[in-house]
Amino acid sequence: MKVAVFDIKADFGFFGKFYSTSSPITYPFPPFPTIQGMVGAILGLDKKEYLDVLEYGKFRAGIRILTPVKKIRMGINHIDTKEGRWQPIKTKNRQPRTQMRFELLKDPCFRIYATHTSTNVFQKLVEFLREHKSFFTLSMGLSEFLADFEFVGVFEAFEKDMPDDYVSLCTPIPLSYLDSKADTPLRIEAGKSYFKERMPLYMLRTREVVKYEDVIFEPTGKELLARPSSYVEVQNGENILLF
Amino acid sequence: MIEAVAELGRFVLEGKSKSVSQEGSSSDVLSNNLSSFLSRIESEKILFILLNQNQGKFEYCGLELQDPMESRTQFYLFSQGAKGGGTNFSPTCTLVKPKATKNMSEAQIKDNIKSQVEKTFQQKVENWFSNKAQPLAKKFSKLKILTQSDADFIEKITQTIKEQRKRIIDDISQTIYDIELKKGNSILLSFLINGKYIGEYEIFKLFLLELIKEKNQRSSSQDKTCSLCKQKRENVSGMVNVFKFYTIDKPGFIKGGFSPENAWKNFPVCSSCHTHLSRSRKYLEQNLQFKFYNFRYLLIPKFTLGFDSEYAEILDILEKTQKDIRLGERKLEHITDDENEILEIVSEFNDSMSVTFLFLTTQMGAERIVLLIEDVFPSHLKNIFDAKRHTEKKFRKLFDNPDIDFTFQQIKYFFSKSNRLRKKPDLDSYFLEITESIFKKKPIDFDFLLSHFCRRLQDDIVNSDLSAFYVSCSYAMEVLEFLSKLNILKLKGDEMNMPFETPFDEILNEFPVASANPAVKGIILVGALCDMLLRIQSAGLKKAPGKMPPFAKNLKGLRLKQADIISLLPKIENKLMEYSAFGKAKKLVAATASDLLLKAPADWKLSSDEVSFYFACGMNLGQKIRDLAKKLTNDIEEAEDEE
Repeated sequence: MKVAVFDIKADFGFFGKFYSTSSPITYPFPPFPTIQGMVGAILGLDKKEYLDVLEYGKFRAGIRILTPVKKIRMGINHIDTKEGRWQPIKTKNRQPRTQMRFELLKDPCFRIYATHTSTNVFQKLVEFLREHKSFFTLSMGLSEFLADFEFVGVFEAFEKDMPDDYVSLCTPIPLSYLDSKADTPLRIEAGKSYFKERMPLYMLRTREVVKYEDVIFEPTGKELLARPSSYVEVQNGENILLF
Repeated sequence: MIEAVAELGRFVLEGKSKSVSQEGSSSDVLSNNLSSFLSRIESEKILFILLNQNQGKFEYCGLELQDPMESRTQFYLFSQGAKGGGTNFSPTCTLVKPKATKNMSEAQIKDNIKSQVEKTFQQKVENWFSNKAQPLAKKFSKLKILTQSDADFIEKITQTIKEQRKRIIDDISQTIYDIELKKGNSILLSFLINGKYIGEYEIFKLFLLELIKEKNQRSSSQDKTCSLCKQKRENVSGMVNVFKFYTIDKPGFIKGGFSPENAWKNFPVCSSCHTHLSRSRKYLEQNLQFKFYNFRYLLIPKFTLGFDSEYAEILDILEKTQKDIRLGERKLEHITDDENEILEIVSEFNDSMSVTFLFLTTQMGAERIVLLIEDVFPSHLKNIFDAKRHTEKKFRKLFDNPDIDFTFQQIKYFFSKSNRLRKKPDLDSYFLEITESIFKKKPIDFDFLLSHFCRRLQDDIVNSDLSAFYVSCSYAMEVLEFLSKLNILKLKGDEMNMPFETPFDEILNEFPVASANPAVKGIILVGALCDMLLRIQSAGLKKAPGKMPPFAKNLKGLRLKQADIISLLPKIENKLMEYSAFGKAKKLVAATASDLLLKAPADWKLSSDEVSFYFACGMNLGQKIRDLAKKLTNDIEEAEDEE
């Protein structure tokens, strides 16, 4: 299989956690449905069709944290829509705007590994990435946080099953991908931190999430030693897990 | 974070259910689940409306005032619903004493209370019985879940409340008027029916659970995946807001179409996970909620690869430790102002678990996450405690004071108010950011700290409070030492060892923000010399202790620059000579200082804050430097007429 590798970066990023609305907090990296959206934006897929074209299973992607995750809090002005309408002038009980304190990612930079069963879609993606073209403007979660991308290359990748020993993986590890038969599928090493996040994985075009996944990652982007049930060895020497 | 909370709830609930099932009572299991949905009682008093059944009818028999008891929470059945005009999940509600101003007459205050009581009584009690209980009673009796006598029971109570409305409201208003409530406190209003609490009647419990279920079904779907247990469940709801930072009161909060009916797609939760979340929240509030200066936080344990046995062990240790602390059988070291803090015990666990600090505040009925510090590992907590101990040890030795205790108080001291005349703290966000940096091992900029240290030091000088000045200075040095030990102090880059050797290196080289620039050492020594002079002046002029001696006016409110330091040295020497106090020891300090200042480059490249801060630190170390100088010069005859 071939994987297209590209880096995305921005000054700020926000990938909201689903369980907090009035105090927006962010995931440290984009969940899989967000990566689908990003690739959809580059390819110019409509919001109604991108989840079909880039369906979980047909489209596979992995993500690597390139710069240490840095979170900051910042106030963002919103239009008050509490009663379903915007009121442009201040009255006794309502103001036209409301400020919300967002937890944001500062200087996020990720490497995306993407592959697709359809050669046409994959070729189109490679072509867009190579020419630094994007049909819709790419953003890091919110439209305010415009993102840039840089094409790294197209690499040959090989699917490997059940390694005998620990493999150094540079992408976050979904818990279900770990070898359930191994006593300690994850080797805890000194100097590394092991964080866990619950993330949506498979979202239908109706925007219903049918699969959630616990993902283990190293917040500074260091590689983790694990025994996955299967992994992908990329030609450039990196071992990755594709969602 | 939320899945860790639900997981904790599952463990707590299942552990408890097992012990209950041994007793074999199914109703207890129901009430066990029920307790998860009950709200915390924060009222000062609880007022009961007494209803007694007489010949098939209910009679209103007055009111009874009690003190709320933690053990009877289940009987009060207080479960808060929507704030404002909505009803609760039971007829129990809170009554707030309206504000009374000084120029209000007694009659006006009474009217005010009465109108408030009338409003609450109608919204929370009458509406509950007529709009919630009666329809539910009809529905359940049709479904044969309730008997006709149960439905009549509700019907009769509703009738009595309607008939006796005026008397009840008058009595409640009078009672509220009579009670001396503390400012901002409230009274809980509930019922005693035939001498029994409403929580002792199955029908009220049943209605409460049904109303919660109805609320959850407002945005729900069948056979969908629950976001917490990751399983396909018969029914999932999008209205579960156990933590009220999840609200869908604004359309913009509902992703994918702004439609409230589709809110379940955002955060689908099944009924058992809802129970787990509620139970977990209760458990966290009872056992793992701690104070942190002006804030409160929940400490949520989380396991990377979690097993029940690990949970059992960790929770047992935490609960036992807290019990021991309360009984005074164990004393742990603290890094916060909470005496019940248990972070030291957490720091002894291994890294297979981590803890999340969830700082919450309440705003207009909703909750806001002020700060979320996720995945703090015990090993890092241990580093924090090691740094604390190191700082304490060093400063206890330096200032010969065994009572020095380093906590976040030293940091809070500089990050509370930007101006002492302010009524409320305005630097909380900085304080929380520093807290996060410490727990997450993120670098903190030295210049940022310096500006806040200097603000406080300058404030003390301007207010002529020398004692506070020395306290501020010690605190600033302790904070720097602590952060430096944790390796999170971001310095300019020219620090490391001070290359210029001086006789005072055993004190100066201990300074946490050492610099290669010889001027830094020079400034510290000039500061030390200035301190010696100020103490002589204070003693000689019999100044009130802690007040500024006359020479302090030369310090320019501690806004010093390079030129100020250079001109201060001869001025200090001159004054010391005038007082005949320029002995061998002080001469050594002055000579070393001038030597260092001469060796320094023409432009020290130090900001005013830096110069002022190093000078202040020199003042703080003045006594230590004087003692060392005396020892080095054998100047035992130096006049000891200092303060």
